[in-house]
Amino acid sequence: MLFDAGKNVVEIYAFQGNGRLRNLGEPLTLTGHVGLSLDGKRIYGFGPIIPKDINFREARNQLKKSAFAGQLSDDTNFFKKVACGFYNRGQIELDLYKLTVPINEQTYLNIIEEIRTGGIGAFYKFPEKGDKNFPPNTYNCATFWEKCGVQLPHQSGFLEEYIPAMVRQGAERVKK
Amino acid sequence: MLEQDEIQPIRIVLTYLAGRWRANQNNTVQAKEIVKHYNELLCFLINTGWNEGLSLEAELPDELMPQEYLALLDMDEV
Repeated sequence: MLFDAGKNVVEIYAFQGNGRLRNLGEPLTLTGHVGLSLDGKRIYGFGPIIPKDINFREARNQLKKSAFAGQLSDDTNFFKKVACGFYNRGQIELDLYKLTVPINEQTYLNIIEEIRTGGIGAFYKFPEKGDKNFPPNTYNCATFWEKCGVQLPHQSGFLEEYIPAMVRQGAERVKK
Repeated sequence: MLEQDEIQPIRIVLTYLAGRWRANQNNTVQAKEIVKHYNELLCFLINTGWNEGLSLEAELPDELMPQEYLALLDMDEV
């Protein structure tokens, strides 16, 4: 795919997680997730590399406290499942939103490079609330793409603010 | 029962308190104070009848969450 000035946009996909879905054993349904698509087909997301020797409960608690090595992964199928309500349980529903954001050529190239290298070298952490929300070279799924130059809907990284900001900026609900 | 537009600001404060706890978890005095305020606010929300659940970024580690919230999660145990 080549950059086409004037046409090029990315799609940001995001949903808010819910702790009441912990029985599903799928961490992203608890944290919520943000992904980015260059072509409207593949959606990539930044997340933690959870060490294999810690169990789900431990991982859940560690995520609330500390940073993990991070990676980019192709999360297309996961987002598709969210869109079709696969993870919904009773009154708990995950609402997926999509926002289209314009990008320039350099941002496009940066994104391509991050996808190529799998985001390796960056760290994943939930945002803090202090002088700075993230230590250097540390992101969550919502803020990772800023390092490529993508204009984020909201700067704090808290999905509780990020998703309402997407909606205010014209995001549409994705439901299949 | 609170309306959604009344609940949302409370959820944001809880999220920020959890974020502030992460930034201050090694400062015992400050961390304790944050946990106290967080628990009071979350219990207030639950006592209004709210039972929707929070995302992980808005939660404290399980051992610091109020029993009332953990009981909500237990309702979903299978």
